[in-house]
Amino acid sequence: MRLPKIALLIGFAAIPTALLAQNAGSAAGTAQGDVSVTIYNNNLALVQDVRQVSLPNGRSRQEFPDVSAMIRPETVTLSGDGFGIIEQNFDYDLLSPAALMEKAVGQTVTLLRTNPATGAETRERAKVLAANGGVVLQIGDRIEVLRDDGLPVRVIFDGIPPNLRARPTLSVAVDASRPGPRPLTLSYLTPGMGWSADYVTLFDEKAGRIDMQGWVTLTNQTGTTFNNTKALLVAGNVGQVQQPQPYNVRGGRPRGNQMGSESGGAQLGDFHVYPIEGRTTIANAQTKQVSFLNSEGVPAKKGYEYRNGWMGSTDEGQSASSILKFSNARSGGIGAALPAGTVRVYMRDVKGQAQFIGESQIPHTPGGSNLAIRTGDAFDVKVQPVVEKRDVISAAEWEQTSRWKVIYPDGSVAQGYSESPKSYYRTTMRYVVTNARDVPVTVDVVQSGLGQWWWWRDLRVQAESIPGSQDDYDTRHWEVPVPANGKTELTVTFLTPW
Amino acid sequence: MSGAFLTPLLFRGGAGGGVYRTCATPRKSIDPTPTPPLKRRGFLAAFILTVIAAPVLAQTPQTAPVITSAAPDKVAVTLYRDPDRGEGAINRDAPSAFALIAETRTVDLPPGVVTVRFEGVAGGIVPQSAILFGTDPRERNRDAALLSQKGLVDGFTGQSVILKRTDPATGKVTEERATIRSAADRLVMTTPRGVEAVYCTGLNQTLIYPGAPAGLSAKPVLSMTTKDQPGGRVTITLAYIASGFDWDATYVGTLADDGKSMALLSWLTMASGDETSFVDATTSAVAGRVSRSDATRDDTGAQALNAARWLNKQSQCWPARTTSDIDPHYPMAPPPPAPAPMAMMMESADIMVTAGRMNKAMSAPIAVIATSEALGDLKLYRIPVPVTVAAHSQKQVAFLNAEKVKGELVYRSKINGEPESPEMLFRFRNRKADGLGDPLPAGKAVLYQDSPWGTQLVGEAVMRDKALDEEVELAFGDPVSVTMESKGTVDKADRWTTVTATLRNANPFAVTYELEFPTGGYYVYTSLPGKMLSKPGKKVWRKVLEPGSETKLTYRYDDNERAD
Repeated sequence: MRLPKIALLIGFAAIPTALLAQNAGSAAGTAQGDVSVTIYNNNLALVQDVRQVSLPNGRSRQEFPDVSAMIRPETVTLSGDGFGIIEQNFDYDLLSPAALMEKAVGQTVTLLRTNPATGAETRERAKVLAANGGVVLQIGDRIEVLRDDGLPVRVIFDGIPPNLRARPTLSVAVDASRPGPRPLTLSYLTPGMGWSADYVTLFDEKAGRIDMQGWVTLTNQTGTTFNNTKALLVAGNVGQVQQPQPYNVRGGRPRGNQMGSESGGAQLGDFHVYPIEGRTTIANAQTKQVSFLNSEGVPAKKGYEYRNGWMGSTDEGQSASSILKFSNARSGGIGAALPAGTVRVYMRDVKGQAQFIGESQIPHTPGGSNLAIRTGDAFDVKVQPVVEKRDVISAAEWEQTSRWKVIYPDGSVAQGYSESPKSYYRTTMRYVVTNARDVPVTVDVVQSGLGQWWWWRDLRVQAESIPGSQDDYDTRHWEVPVPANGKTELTVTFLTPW
Repeated sequence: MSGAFLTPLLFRGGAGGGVYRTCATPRKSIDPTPTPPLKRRGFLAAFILTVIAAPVLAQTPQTAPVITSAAPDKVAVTLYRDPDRGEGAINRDAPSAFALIAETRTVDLPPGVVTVRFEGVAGGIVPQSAILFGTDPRERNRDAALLSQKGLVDGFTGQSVILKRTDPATGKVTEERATIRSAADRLVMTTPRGVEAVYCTGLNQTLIYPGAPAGLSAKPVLSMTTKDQPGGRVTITLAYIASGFDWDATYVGTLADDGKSMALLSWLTMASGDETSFVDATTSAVAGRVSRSDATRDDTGAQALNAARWLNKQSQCWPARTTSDIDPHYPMAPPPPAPAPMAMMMESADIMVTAGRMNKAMSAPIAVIATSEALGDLKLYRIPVPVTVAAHSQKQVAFLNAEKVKGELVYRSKINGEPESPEMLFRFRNRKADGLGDPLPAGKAVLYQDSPWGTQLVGEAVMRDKALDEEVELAFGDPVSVTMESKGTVDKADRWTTVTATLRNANPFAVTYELEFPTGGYYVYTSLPGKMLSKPGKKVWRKVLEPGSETKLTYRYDDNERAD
C-alpha cells in the first residue's frame, strides 16, 4: 500500500512542473516566492514575498510579476543584501487594442483588407497619424479614417511597446554591488483582501444555553492568487488615511451590551491575531473559511425590547424585538475576544432540525463582554404605544411639580433653567404590552426622544405605573412583566417643555 | 485556537428526527468492508489523470485529492418572507427574501487530507453562512472564478491557442497558432504576422482553446478541505442560506350573507427564483421578521457572474465598425452586464397549486394542510409531505381552513380634525371562541361573498402578523351607498372649529358606523357626540344606521399645541 503512494507523489511532482513551465503568467506558474499575508479587517492586507533573485553586477531592472493587481505601489519596500534601489516603477499601462493604437501614433502598421465578395486579401502599409476620435491613417498619399467604410480590416502591429502589460507589474531598478542569487523581500499593502468573523450559534431556549462556533471568513478580490501562503489575521481596523470610516455601531444595538476587560489569546499590540495553521492557497475570487472558536453550553437567555420614539403612537400592536443575551467571559465558556462579524442564530424545531432565526452584526468585542443580539421580531409579544392625553399646563403647575424632577448624571441643572420655555405640556403615554406565548415574559419598553435638544434638560416624569429607570438624558426604560397569554398596560406621564 | 472541532451541533439534541438525524451516525463511519487493493489503485489512477488534465493546479490548494459530491441525497428547504415587501406581491422573477437549505450528502473519502466539492447547491448561496454537520474541515472555500469567456482568456493569457477564421465569401476556414498577450481590456494576440486585436476587425473569427482550466467551474462552487482523516463513507449535512426565495400568506375569505362571519382559507404561496430545483424536499416556511445583516444579505455571486460576462465578443469593441469612438485617455469601460434572461425565466416559470384550485372558493377538498409550530419567537409552517421546490417556480399549499370565523362588518371614518371618507372593514378577534385562534402570518386577504350572480369579489386587504387573541381588521374597500359629508366652521375668536357631519345609509339594510377620535394627537376634540367607547389611543363613536336613514352629529376641535 505504501509503495504506490510514494511513486505517485514523485510522478505528481514531475508532471505539473513540466506543464507549468509553459504556463508563465497564469496563476499556476507563479513568480511568487515564500509568501506571507497579514490581513486586516478593513479591506487591507500586508503581503510579504521572499523571492530568490539573481542580480547581475551593477545596474539592472528587475520585474516582479504576480503581485496583487490592486497593489498600492507607494507602499512597496524591497529589501535584501548587497544592492541599492535606484527607482521603483509600477506599470499599469495595460495592453489593450486602444493602447496599442495610441502608442502606434507616428509609426507604420499593416492593414489587411478582406474583400467581402471574393474573400481576396490585400495588404498595405499605413502610417498612423492620430488616434483622437477616429484613427487617422496615411496610406501612400491618401488620408483615411480607419474602418469608416464599415468593411472588415485587420490592423497588424509590428510589435508590442515595452511598457504595455497584460497585468500590472512592479519593476525596480537596482544597483548591485556583487552579482549572484539572493533572497529579496518584497512587501506592500494591498486592498482587496479582508476578513470578518462568522459565528454559528445554536440556541437551546429550554436549557438556556448556546453552542457557538466561530469561523474566519477571508475574501480575496485582488485579482491575484497567493499560493502556499502563511496567513495571519489581525482583528482590528488599522488606521488608514482617506479611507471610508470603519464599521461603526450606532444606536441600533439593543440594551445590554457592555464591553468587557478580560484578556486572553494571541495579541499583536492592541489587536488580537488569528494565525491560520499550516499554509494555505488564497485563490482569487475566493471566500475561505477557517474555524477559530468552538464553545458549548454557554449560558444565554432571551429578552424582549421595544423602542418608541417621542409621541410615537400606533394603530395596532407592534412586535417587540427578540434579544439573545450572553457573555463571552471565561466563566461562561467562551473566554475569548470575538472579532467583528456576523452572528447567525439557529434553533431546533420540534423535529430537531436547526432553523435560522436571525442574524446580527457585532463589533470587535473584548473578552468578558456582555452581548445582546437582536435576532428578529417576536410574533407573539407586541407593544402598542399610544398617546393617551396631551395638554398644556400652566407655569404655576409646572413649578408645583418640580419635586418630580429627574436628576441627570451630568448635573448641569442651572443651565437648563436659564432657558425656561413659555409653555409646558403634559403627555400621558400608554404602552399596551401583550403576550400570546404560553410562558410569562418581561419586555423592556424603551422610550427615547426625551432630550429633544441638548439644552432642554427639563424633563419630569410625573407618574409611572411601573418604576422606570433613566438610561441617559434621552431614553428611559421600564421592565414590564407580562403573564402567559396575558396583557400588561404601562402608563407614564411626562412633563416637558416641548 | 482551533482545537478539536468536534461538530457539537451534530451530537447534541439527537432526540430529534428530520434531516439532521442522519448526522447522528458517527462522524467517520468507515465502511466495514475493507477496501480491496484493486479499487484503491483505480482511485489512484483516476487521481493521476485528474492531475494531468489540470494544468492550473494552484486553484486546488496543495495536493489534496478532489472528491465531488454531485447532489444531495435529501434536502430540506425553509423559506423566509421578505418583511420589507409590504403589501407588494412576490417578485416571481427575483424573489427578495431567502431560504435555509439543509442537504444531506454521502461521500466516500480516501484517507488523508481531501478536498470535497459540493455541487448542485443553490445558486444564491451565501457562502459565509454555510454550516457543515458531520465533518471536521480544516477550511472551507467558495470559488467564484467561473468558466466563461473571460475565465478562459484569463487562464490562457501568455499561452498558445488556435485562432480560427472563416471567410464569409468563400467559406474557407484558416487556422493558425496565436498567443494571448493580454485580456486586460479586450483581447490582444500575437499571430505569425504580428500583433493584432481579435473580435474587433469585423471578420468572422474565434479562438479554440486546448482545454478548460480545471479551477474554473460553471457556477460558484463550495468546497471544504478536511484535516488528516482515516477515510471511508461519511454523511455530511450542509446547511446554508440562499437568497432568491420568498413566501407570502394569502387569505381567501368568504363573507356570510349576514356579514357576521367569514369562512377563511389560507395559502402559503412560496416562490423560488433559484436555478436549482430541490426535489422531494422537506419544506417549511418561517413567519415573523428575522434580522438580517447588511454585510451578507446580498452576496449572491452576482458580481462574479457579471465579471464573467463583460468580455463577451458581441460587445462593443475597438475598432468595430468605425474608430471614431476611441477615447484617447481612458480604457474603454466594460459594458454594463447583459440584462437577466427575462424571457427564458418567464417561459420556465410555472405556477402550481398543490391542493385544489380556487375557482369556486373552498369547494375543492384540501388534501394537505401545513401545520404551525413555535420556533422561538417565530412561527414555523411545515408541509407534512415532501414536495419539490422547482427552479423558477411558485407553489401554494393550504395552511389554515376555518369554516366560520365570527366577526362583524363595520363602516368607519378616522378623524384627523375633519373626518376622513368612510371605509368598509371586517373585524374579528383571533381566538378559538370565535372560530379561529391560530397565528396569522402577514400577507394579503381576498374577500368574496356569494350572491345571486355567483361568488363575487368584495375586495382585497392587507393582513399583518397577528398573534392569538389580537383584533384583526381587514379594510377591504370604500362604500358607495354609505356616505359621509362634513362641514367645519371656525368661531369668531378663530379658536374652535365646529364640525357637523352627516351620515347617510342608502342601503336596504342597517350598517354599523364608527367614528374614531384619536387621543393625544395634534387636535383636542370636545363636545363629542354622546357616549364614546374607549380603545387604546382613541375614542370611538358607534351607531347603527338604519336603512335609508340620515344621521347628523357635531363636535369641536382645537389645535392642541396652542399655548394658554
